[in-house]
Amino acid sequence: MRKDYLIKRGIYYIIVWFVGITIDFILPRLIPGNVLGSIILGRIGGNLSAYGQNVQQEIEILVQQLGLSQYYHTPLYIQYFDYLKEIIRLNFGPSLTEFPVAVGTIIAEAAPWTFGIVIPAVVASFFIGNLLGRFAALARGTIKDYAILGLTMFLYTFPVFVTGEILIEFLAVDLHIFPTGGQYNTFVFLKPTLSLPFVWSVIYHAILPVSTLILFSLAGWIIGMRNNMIPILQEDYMNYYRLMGVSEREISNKAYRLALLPNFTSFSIALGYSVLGAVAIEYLFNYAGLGYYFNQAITGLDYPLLNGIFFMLVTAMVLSNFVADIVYGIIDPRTSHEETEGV
Amino acid sequence: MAQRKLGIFNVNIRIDKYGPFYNLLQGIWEQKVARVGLYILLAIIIFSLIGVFYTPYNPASTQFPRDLPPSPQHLLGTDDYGHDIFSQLLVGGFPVIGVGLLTGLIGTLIAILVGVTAGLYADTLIDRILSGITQIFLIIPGILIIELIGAYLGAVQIKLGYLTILLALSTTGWAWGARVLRSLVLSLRRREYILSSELVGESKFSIIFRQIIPNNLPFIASNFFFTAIYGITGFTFIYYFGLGSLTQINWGTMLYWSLGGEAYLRGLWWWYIPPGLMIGLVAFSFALINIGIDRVANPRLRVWDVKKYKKQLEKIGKKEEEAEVKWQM
Repeated sequence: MRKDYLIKRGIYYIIVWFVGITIDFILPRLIPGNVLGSIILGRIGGNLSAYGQNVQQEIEILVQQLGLSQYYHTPLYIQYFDYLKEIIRLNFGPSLTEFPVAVGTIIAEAAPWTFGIVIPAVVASFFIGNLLGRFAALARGTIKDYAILGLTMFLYTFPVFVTGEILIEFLAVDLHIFPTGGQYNTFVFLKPTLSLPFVWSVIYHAILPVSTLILFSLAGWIIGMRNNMIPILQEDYMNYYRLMGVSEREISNKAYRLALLPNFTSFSIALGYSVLGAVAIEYLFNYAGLGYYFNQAITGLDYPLLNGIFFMLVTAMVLSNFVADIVYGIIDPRTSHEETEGV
Repeated sequence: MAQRKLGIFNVNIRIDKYGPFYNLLQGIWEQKVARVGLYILLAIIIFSLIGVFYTPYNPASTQFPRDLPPSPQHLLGTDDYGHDIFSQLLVGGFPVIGVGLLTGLIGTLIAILVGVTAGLYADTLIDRILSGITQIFLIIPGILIIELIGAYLGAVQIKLGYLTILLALSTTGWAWGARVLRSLVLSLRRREYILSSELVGESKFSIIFRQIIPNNLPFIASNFFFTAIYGITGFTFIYYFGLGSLTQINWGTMLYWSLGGEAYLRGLWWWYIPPGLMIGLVAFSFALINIGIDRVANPRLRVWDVKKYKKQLEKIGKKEEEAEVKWQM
């Protein structure tokens, strides 16, 4: 892998990341300052001195970050640099809906839960989807192929939160197999430690959200795998293998390995989509991850929290894309030499 | 009818008379998958069209008893607020389908504009800038940006209307298409026939419309439906977070209110499954058509039904015997 390719991609991602941050910076400034100010003061209650010195400092940061003109008169570029300084320290000020808890604290607590359901879901759907796609490609043109393709395609286009709602109603409410929501069993007063009952409780509560995400993201892998594998199975060298007497099973193994390669590029996109999916379903499952607080921030007009979560999601997307690029560069050396293909 | 050499035969090809667009449409129609998708879409459009002229009850009326399960009087029951769900379902279809299709249209137009320009002016400053913008929209999900904007508009008591949603979705949904089109144009640009038409003195404008776009028509068509699916998904997401105007009746608001009423915890399946199913079916029909287009554009993905193929060959043979076409071996 060439070094300048990596540097080029890196610069692109840093630019993208900056654009994301800048959106976070511009949006509050488009709303009239007094409107935002009254929302903030309304939430807090106007009595700032009731809270400690720390909170007052945090509110000053908040006022700076939201650029409320009536409190903060500085040129725009200085505001931007101040904003960047605070953001790099992950300082978004206090949350308005959970005042005076800092947004950073909320995000630090919530992010592991979100990635804890997103990453297993993406990995599991990658494996299940590729295997099903291989099965569909080998059974192409038969009823099995159409059944797999149609069903997963339908699950993909179905609104992801309705899938979640159906799973909750039938598996949790009617049949009592799974809990309806939450991250772990709070009735037994389990403490968040690494004890076996706690870990089991966490896994047990994660099964429904994770399977919702898997159902949602399965189709992409299956179609990718199937569309890669069908042409490969018809290649001349595959026919040559057949003539040599290589078993059909081994041939499909070889084709599978070749077809797997392009699917790796989709990995980062899938991760991004699944994070979006998680944002949509966490509120349903009462699962206190980033999506849950995202929903709370939108309904409660909690702008510091909203900005913080948006920043986290953008950072996660940029990082995952960059990692995918690096991994793909290692797996497939051709990518780094194709100057014109990559945008 | 144009005479065209096909392999070792000289045959009359009807398609040539109508150009690449007709060619594509006929190709899609021949794919069974795409036909099923078209039938589903047509059925839903007819269903929504009925809703324009006739509903069993007034969809906005709240006079009915609450939470009634489906019955002959109320085909899909009533919700928490006393609405008749079937009437709402009839009325609420067109916004979703319309926003989806229009998002597909505008998004594809932007994608063509950006992708073709970037491809034609590759490795210049214009290309760098356009590609950079494309990259940004590829990585940062458009739905997330729209939700952020919608949340800030909430501060000044503005809810997103249909037009705003349409604009927001179509300006964020074009990136994938633009990126692929750019690389397609890039490879097309080096072909001899483009070069020769450039040498003959054909203008860039005419090259774009007479060579590049007809050659990429299958991809553009598939991108249209891909973006339309994004539009529908985005539409439901915006309403799910309550950022759209909630006084309107459509499948999105129905989902929002059923979520607020916690229908899924109280066993009121007739409240949230019908609108979800309808939204899913619209997007599903787009996806099916897309698979069909894929098979037209990439013949290696087609699964040959040998019996049907033989029958088609026989048919062609008969027709040609009737027309007494000269076969040149």
